[in-house]
Amino acid sequence: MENFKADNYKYGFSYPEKPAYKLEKGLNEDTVKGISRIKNEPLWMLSYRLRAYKTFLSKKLPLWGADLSGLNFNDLYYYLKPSQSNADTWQSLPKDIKETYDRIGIPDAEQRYLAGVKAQYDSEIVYGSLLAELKKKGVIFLSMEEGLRKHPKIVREYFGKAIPASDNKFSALNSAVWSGGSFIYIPKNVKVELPLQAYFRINAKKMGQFERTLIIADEGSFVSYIEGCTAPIYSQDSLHAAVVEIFVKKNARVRYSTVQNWSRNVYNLVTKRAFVYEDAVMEWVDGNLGSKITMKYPSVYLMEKGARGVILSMALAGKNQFLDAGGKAVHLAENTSSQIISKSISKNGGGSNYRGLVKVCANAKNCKSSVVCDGLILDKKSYTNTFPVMDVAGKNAQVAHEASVGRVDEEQLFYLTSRGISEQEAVNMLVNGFIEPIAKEFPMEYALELNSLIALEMEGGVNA
Amino acid sequence: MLEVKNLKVNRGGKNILKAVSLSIKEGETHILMGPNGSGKSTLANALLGNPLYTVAGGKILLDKMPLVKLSPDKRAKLGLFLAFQYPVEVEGVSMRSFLRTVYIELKKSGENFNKNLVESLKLLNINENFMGRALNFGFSGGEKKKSEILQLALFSPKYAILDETDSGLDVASLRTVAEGISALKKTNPKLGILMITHNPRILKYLNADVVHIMFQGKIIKSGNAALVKEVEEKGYGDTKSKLIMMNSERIG
Amino acid sequence: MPSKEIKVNLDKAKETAKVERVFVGRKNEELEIDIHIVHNARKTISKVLVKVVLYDNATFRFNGRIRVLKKAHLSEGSLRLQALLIGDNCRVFAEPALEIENNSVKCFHKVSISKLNEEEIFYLISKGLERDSAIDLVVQGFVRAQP
Repeated sequence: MENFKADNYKYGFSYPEKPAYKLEKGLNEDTVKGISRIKNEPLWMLSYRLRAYKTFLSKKLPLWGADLSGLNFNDLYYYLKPSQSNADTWQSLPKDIKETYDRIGIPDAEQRYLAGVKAQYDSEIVYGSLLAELKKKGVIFLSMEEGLRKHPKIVREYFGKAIPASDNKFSALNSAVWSGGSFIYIPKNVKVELPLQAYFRINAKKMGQFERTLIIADEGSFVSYIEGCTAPIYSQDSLHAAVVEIFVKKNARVRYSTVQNWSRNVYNLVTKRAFVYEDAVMEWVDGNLGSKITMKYPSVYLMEKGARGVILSMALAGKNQFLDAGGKAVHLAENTSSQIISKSISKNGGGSNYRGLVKVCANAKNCKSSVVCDGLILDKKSYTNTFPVMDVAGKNAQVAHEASVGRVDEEQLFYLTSRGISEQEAVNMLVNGFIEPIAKEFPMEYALELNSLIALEMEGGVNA
Repeated sequence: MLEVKNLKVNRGGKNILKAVSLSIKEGETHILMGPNGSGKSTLANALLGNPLYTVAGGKILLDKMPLVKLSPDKRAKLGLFLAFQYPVEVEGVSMRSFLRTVYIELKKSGENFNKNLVESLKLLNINENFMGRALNFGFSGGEKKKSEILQLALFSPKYAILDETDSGLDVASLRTVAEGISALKKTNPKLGILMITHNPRILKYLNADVVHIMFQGKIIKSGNAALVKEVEEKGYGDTKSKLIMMNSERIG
Repeated sequence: MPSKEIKVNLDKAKETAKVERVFVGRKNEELEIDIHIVHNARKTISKVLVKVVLYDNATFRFNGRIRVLKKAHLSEGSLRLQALLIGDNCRVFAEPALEIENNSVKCFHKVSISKLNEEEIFYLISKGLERDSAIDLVVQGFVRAQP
């Protein structure tokens, strides 16, 4: 392991081609400066990072949610070039990950696994024409670093405006050490029909720990973005603290879909927020399968009249997993509407919670909100909690909230088994039926993989 | 042959079926009638192994295979089918995927599924777009009954128990369902049926080989189709008094 | 003075708890209640129903929790909060929580916060009632209705 020394710097770096190296473990001001230098960032971003670092130091861990005491900030790497990391070769993947791929029958698993790494080569050929089309229309789809370099004015205008560094300890951390992520700008009235996928972005590397994504959908535009993978992703890094900021301008629509299935050593602490403007629509579709601990509450801030936010969230927590997920809808203007549907499943001792907020501010008249959060506990060892909060002040508000928790329905189970379906298979069917309102919102191949992954999990899977 | 021998069934600690016996040969249609609460549905559910009911004694044999220790899915695989009186709704599971999953489970192959499905839908006058709806979800009473018979047509069991399939149906639906069952019998003459009914309207369309009257957890009388007329005319009253007499004779 | 806190522990098998409260807030009143139910034995049942009507600038704070512990097999818990906001500046703050450790149970909570149904009001006014009387009638109906 090479230590990063200030001397090396005088010979110059040109990003991104440099032999792999790692900064030392732990985080200090030098690490932050180093990251900024490697990326050749403008001064304002370096200052931003340094201020965020100070904020990170001053903020406390949240007292609610998951038990994060196992996190040792000094025992982590905060910047790692992936080209030499172990997990790049198929052979070195942990056995259980490989087995899962086999079991869910992903063809050319090795190929696909590495796609995230090879994408920059493949994508130019396969998606080259798609991206050329988009470019002609003025669509910008770059890594966050490139976005910062090529479109500094736009980035500066929006970066950190939805999620300031001070928002919470992990947004502060991300703001200090962010690396990777996407920068997307959709011009007025341009509708991108095909979903943009994170790993087909040119220069995309394997998903990083501190990704920073910024999406700006200008007036009347539409874009759908997919991040993540149903197949389990092994990560050596045990802390993932991403930040996603989205600005949906007047009459625009953005759909952001995520499926995360991080390996069971990962703490996945994500801050996602969308500012939704007049008559615009934001849809979060969130699937949580992996990680040891996830805390994630995609939010919609309905800033102007007629804005609408939809949050669809599902979580399946197995052995030793704790998934704390949900959504927040904040109504800041009149005639806004929100809908949250959350489905959580716990099995084998896992815990999956819903945590949510619907806030209707005093000046927000005529707002509507509906929340449905259901929990399914599959066995005696598991548990689930729902912690919704409703803070309703606006005149003429209509807010409805329903939550139910229970086990698989006996009557339904008997009906299915009486047809010849084994109990195991029947439970699978019912679990899939339970999450169907969310699963159906994912693109087809994700939905199918999601189903087989769940079936595998249900069976006792490889991680059980 | 589907044999029930001295079957005693309890629910929640309470004894419901006292010692029920009947035998249905392949190809036969048996009718089971009786007033509400006599135990007809209990029998139907116990035959399929509903976990809410416990068998406290007696045997159930399907083609000589004892069923009492088998789980419901194993019984279904041996060729037993129950058309529920109140089919449960399962949100999020589409009709088509449910039917297909069961079909493949029972027949071991998905070949001909589509063909058979289309034929069955036509036979029962069910619109194709039903297949996209969630299993029984939001179905009217009549639609639910039809869904059960559709499954009967598609899964071709050896013995089918129809629990009040005729109740709550309007005239047109009753006819469709009855004609559907008749047609199934024609294409599969070995199909044995135990039809539980509260009123004998459906017998306008079906021929009954044996009729049983159930009362207070026991079959108190069995006979041929003429028995139905007797019940139609006299209600269960006469039979009840017969039962009382039968009992007192034994005691005395 | 009605208590601001209701705690019920269901420790014996088949115990049942039923809590029903109606709150009416006017002017600048600040109403609140904490209801905390713990199921710790088999087949216990809890039913909570809270109705709130707020006028003017009144506020209502609700903290409701149903906890079902491991021993509470086959228990059932339900919590319903219905709030009718009539005033222009009312506020409801509700935190209904479910903490469930046993999977054989059935628990749910339902919250609905709504405004006056203007169609209902119009219907009554068109029959000759004054607006205030119409509102009173609707409120009566709201309070009396069984879930």
